Amino acid sequence: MQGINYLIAAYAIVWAGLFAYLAFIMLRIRSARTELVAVEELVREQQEKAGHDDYRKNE
Amino acid sequence: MALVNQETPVERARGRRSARAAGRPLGLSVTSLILLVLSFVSMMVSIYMIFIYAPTDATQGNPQRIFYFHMPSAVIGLCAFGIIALGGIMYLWKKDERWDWVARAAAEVGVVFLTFTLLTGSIWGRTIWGTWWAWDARLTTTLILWFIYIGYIMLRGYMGHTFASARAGAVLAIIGVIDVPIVYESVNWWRTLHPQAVLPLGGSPQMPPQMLLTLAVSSVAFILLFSFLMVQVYHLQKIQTLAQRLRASLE
Repeated sequence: MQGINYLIAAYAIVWAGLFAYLAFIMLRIRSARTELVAVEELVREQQEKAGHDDYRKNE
Repeated sequence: MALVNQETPVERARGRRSARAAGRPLGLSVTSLILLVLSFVSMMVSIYMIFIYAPTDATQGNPQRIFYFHMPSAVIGLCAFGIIALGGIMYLWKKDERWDWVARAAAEVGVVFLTFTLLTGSIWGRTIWGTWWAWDARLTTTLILWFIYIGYIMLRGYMGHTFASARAGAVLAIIGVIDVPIVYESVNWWRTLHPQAVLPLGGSPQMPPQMLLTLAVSSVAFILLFSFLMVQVYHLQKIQTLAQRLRASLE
């Protein structure tokens, strides 16, 4: 019976660890994607602003 | 008042991202989805085989079943460090950062599997040897490899996504991979508590066919799971590098 407890403990640790790691990766990917799109947006806004300023200078 | 209704770039990004991801389950690519389904199915089959199909070991009893998770995770933990070293060598040779992303992904996923190896091995050792840990050659060399993994991950985390970080990581991986054959051969070179390899290179397997088949299915399940996790972390490395570059261009 003691052996069964150790067996269950070993498998529980591996499964809990795997699910926790999977959730951790998914959260990091989600946060990195959000950050990337936000930074892309900022770059686009900066480029548009720079383009608009150039146009006004030429006018 | 107008400011209240104004969306920040982060909010706009969240909206667009959720719209794109809505088309795919969990927002995963087709390759990732296939790997996820395959690893889930093979893992379920392997669990059935481990607990129902495989015979109970005559001397060790039920705790021997820990072996079907312990050995595949150990093999993956060792092979993953080989992938890190290969990624490092290819990066130094080709100067292609995709090899560096492969190395970083293998390090992150490999250390998880090696941690499982140490934990399951410790539990198994408690039932068979009566102790959680012994400073024998196989266990000690594996622990050293685990510390090398941690050192690699800490170095890369500290230096960020830079070319200097990739070079330093490659050098550390090439030196660290020396420990992999030492771990494998430790049971042959020194007298250890740890049993000899059940699948010796070039030799015949030291176990009954049902156990061997269960081990094979479990190994396939672990390889598929490792591949799925590698693809996810590789993708993460790519996004983080691109975001860091764009942020740097803004400053």
